[in-house]
Amino acid sequence: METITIVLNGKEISGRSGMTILELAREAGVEIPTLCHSPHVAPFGACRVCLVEDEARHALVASCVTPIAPGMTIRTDSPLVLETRRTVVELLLSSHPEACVLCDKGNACALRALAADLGIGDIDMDRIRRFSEIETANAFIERDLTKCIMCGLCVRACQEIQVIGAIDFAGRGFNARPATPFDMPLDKAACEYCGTCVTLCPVGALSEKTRQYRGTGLEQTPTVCSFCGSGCSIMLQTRDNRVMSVEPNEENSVNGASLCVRGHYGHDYIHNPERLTVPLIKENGSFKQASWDAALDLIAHRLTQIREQSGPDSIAVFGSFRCTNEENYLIQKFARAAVGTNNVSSSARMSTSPNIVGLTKAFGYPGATGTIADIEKSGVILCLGANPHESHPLIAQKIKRAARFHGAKLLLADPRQSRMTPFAHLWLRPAPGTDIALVNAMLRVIMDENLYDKDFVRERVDGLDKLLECARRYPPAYAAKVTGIPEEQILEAARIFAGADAACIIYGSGITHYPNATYSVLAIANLAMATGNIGRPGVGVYPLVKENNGQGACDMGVLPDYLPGYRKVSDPEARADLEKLWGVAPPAGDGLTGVEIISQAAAGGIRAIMNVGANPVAVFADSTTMKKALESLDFFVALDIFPTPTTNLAHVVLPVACFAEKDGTFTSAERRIQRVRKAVDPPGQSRAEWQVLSDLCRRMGLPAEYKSPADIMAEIARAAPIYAGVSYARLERQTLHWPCENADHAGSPVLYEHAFPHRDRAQFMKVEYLVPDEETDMNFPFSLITRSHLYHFGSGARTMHSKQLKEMFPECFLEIGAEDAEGLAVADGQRVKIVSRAGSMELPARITPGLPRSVVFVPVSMSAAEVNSLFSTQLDVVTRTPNRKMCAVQIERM
Amino acid sequence: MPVQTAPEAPGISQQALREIIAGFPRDQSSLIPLLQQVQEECGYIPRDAVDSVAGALGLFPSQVFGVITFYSQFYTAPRGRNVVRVCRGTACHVRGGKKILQLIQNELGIQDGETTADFRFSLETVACLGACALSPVMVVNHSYYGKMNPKKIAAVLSQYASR
Repeated sequence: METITIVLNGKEISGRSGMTILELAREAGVEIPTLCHSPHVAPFGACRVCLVEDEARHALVASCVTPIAPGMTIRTDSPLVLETRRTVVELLLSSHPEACVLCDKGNACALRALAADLGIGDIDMDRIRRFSEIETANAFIERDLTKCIMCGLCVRACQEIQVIGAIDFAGRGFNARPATPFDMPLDKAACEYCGTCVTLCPVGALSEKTRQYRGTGLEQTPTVCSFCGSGCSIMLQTRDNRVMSVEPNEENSVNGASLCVRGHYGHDYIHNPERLTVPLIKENGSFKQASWDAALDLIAHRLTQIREQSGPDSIAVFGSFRCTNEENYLIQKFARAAVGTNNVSSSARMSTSPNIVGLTKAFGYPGATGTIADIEKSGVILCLGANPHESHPLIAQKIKRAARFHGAKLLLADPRQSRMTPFAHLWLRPAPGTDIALVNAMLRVIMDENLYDKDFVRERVDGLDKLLECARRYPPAYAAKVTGIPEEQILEAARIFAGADAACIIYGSGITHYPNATYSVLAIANLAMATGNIGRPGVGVYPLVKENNGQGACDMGVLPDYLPGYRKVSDPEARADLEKLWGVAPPAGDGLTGVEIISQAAAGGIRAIMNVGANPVAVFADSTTMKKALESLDFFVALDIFPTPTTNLAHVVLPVACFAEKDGTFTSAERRIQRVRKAVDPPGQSRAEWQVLSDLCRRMGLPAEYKSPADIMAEIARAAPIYAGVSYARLERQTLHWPCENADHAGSPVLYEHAFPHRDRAQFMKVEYLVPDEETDMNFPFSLITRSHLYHFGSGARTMHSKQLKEMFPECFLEIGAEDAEGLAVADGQRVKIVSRAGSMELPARITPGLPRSVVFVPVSMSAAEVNSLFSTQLDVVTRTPNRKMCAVQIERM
Repeated sequence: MPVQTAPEAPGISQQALREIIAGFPRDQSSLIPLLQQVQEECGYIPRDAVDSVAGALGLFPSQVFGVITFYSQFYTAPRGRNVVRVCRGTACHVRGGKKILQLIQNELGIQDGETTADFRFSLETVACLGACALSPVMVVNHSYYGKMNPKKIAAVLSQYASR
């Protein structure tokens, strides 16, 4: 890097070539005010507030867009600069309404602060009045363009950061304004209410609707978003023990200045009055308020009693992605050491198991091989079985940025047209559930045409014969028949993928929720290995772990067959290590999976369930059977923040803290361990789960003296080798990607750079393509596919308690193509009845463009229990996780 | 009984749009000539066309709208099949251009900037057509009509009455 020396305010100073004057000045601690500048978007040079004097040329230049050049002599404080800056600000003020008293931006207004710094009070210019209606039609954002200073930060946030592009400058001269196409209201335009424009707006032109005139938070707490697995850092702005608003936390964060609508505006569920606040004990069929002592004594007493009567394996424990790592660790410790069973599972397992098994077999570690940020370094991105735009908006943002600004080719395999489609270089439309055939056929082409990475395969992978055998069975013509993708597109996709310098594969629940999930994951891993796309930034395999702490819940061993850190239950050494740590040996045999626990509950083998935060009635398949099974239990305890269909069935309900009310850590989909911090007190008598679980452990005779979650993390570091180097002291300063082997290890953002954990080599695996059992026929002619929704999440328990999100999308709906709707004589908005082999539900139909024929979609989170009642319990052949993605249905008019 | 239908606003079929787009390189530099061609075809830039053009060139619809609203040559509302431009420059004004405009407004029943209900005519004024020797002057579509007087107006307009 070339070094350039300039004279800044009389002092010689050196910077790197390509730096702007502003960047160098800020590095040197010289303050230059700006209004239109943000480090998150390209420099723009719009506001002219940052003008500095280039003394050699006697010229004023905008420091934010002017690169440093050898011999420059810059003054940031000459009389000319100050006078000009003053005039610029006066001109801005002359067309800015004098409404500071009423403006929600208040003291956070950059224009007001700048005027104050320059000592500008009243200005002696004729005022230019601008008239523009305040747009308030939508639930989230208020736009008052009379206050707009045309800095362009909103436009750049929308186009450059989020790559949504709902707005751009329209018009010319005095008429110029940031506008949607045809000045449509935001809710009719492409806007997704991520609020990044509101975050970056330096003045009061954009504001949050809910914050109107209620003031801003007085304190802020950095923590992690509680929705998807992206792991965005957020700042909770609080006042009087209430979260007033949520802003992105830019420091050390994966998300920079951006958030999505859920993270930005969906956290009002924290203070929803429906929160559980008092322990409840069911007596004669109805809940009575109880003291904590009474409730905990009852739980300890009943669980001990049932264990004595029927043995520890008659008890099961559910954990949750909603809980922190520390809590999930205690959940499995409670099961294994206090109760004495490996019957411990979570709903995260249902999504993640195929990854755990598949990725562990192929590579060694069950997690994404690289970081979310590195997706932008990929030259080719294969995205399949995923709609990141709705499930993981941050990851969608990275993919779109790679495609639009870095020339990456997006190979998008998705039967449904989405907001990702316009960014696809090649849009492949496989029939639902046939992705394995596509991947295997791509491998066949790559092997046939000798496009595979021979050096990588020879040096780092075993089992080439297995790969060749799989590939042999998938000629592209056959795959074309299975998937419905034209053969030439399969050829093209394979060649593009194999030809990339760096290619990555991103996949979601469209892979992991099918009954052939594990094989699909193995096929994906095979493709990455065959093309040498492992072990560098910008390559690899990214499973989109759905939930905020879905990764962490599994890392902590809330799994019937794995102990903390993915050490196998069947591994005697691992059990012995835990015995040393706990003083109690974990039981030897694998426990039951979530689905098996439920079927054993129905059969009488499981008599009690301790459910910490999961909502099985809503999120497991076949919710009708689920309900019956839970009703038949002798004892059922539920810990949750809201009443749910599951808590209604419990004998004891304990009110617990949400993420904003406790300390802990979450581990995101990129294996990144981040601190969760307490910002407000839990409502009423509710307590954090780690406190409840410690208390219960003690009552069941297991010592659990944890003063804080930091103590629990210290124990996790000893229990899980991949967390060995993690401590709260380190997490205070930074985030860590596991595996982090000791206190000096920096963590592993990119996996397998030098070696694979098992014998240093990765493994090609044999892959079967299984035809889904859920085939359509005369009676059930439509394939129904569940999908994520941008405005709702998980079982909907939290997002349906967010006032704004619910206002935006209050109800579940069925997406159906125009031709299918016409065939059924169903009009847009008309209610229909969906009948599957397992159940039925009623909901309104929405005629949606871009769907394949005879395939309908339902966003699952708004009525999760009803939707999942349509599914029968069909399990993945390897991991015994249920199919919750596709089922055959009939649609009836009502 | 004959059914009265409202005259249809000029539009552009998806097919025609695809054909126009196919004639340009898929590159952001095609934007302005492409928009000009669309406007040539149907007199303005319909909303559908904004989405298609944006999609084809890898732009956001908002960016295309930004360009359309920046240049005065582009229109976002339907215009007449025939565009009448009356010169309001100095030379034409001195020789009665204002009166000519008034008479055309009366004849067509629309004001400056408006379009007749049957989409036959749109009326615009321009600051100078650069044909001062012919003042007062008007242009219909691409044809110039100079040394206008009240009698000639009806004759000129009637030439376009069936188009």
